[in-house]
Amino acid sequence: MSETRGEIRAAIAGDPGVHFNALVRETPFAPGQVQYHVRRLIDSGDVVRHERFGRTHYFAPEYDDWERDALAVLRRETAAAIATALYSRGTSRPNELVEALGIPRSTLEHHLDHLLECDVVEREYVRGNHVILSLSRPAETAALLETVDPHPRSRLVDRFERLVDSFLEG
Amino acid sequence: MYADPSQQVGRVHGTFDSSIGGLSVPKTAPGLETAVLESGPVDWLDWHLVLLLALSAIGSLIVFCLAAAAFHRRRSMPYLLITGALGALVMRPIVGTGTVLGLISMQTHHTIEHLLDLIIAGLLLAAIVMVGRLETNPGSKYNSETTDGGNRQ
Repeated sequence: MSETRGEIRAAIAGDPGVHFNALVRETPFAPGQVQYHVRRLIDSGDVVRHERFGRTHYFAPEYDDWERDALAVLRRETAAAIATALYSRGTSRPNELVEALGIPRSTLEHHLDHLLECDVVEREYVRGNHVILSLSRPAETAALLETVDPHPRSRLVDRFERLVDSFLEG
Repeated sequence: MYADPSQQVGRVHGTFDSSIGGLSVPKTAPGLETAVLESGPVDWLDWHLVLLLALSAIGSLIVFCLAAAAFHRRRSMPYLLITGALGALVMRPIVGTGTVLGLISMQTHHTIEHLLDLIIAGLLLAAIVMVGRLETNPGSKYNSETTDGGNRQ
């Protein structure tokens, strides 16, 4: 394996679920070079390509389907905060999360949709009409939360979303 | 707005030798002679203006990119309208640069800038109105402790 390919592979392993653009930013190589080597790494089975929410994420092969889905969503600051709050509380009602995290309701709804879709969070109905949320796999989720850190740009977009949602909700 | 100070000087002293896109450059400004010699107010104004335009272009572009990224994630009409409003904000320094370079007359500049203000205000208002409409339908899935609170299809 060439030195360049080795570096790209290490960058993907060190930042599971990294996007193509971030990979180009984080490595000293040109986009065409990164594209070529990523394709070769995928062909040889050293890297897995995973599409989620309209974006392509790259992973080392040791992550299974659930972990790849979970990492794709937990890379977002707000989603990670929701998962962390659920981990520490065990179970929670949506309104309690809104209050505890100080986030607008529509922001919570948007991220919960993704967390439910990726099976990171599960929803239970109690007494017919109350919703209780909890993590589907608390221990694994906590471990994944340790491995990813939202990128600065992604954090800014998350904060922009929260600001706009709170502004629109008034 | 950009040419006002120098236009004022021009009106008082009537000593222009050139006018670049409404930015009049005084040849000699007797009343400001000392200031011209010491600090070069015209150069300072140009430099100041270019810096201001550059900073506003960078700032508005960053905010627009954030809005575009947020719209890409949320795909909702209010986010589209806000992205449009911030896109109109990006147009302002572009128009300003056009004026400084003499490509857009001051008259057109003012018309476009105020039209952009109207567009920005209109888009933001539309975004707010749209959110009001969404709240009236039962689309809010997690917002109630007493009703369903979930989307059982």
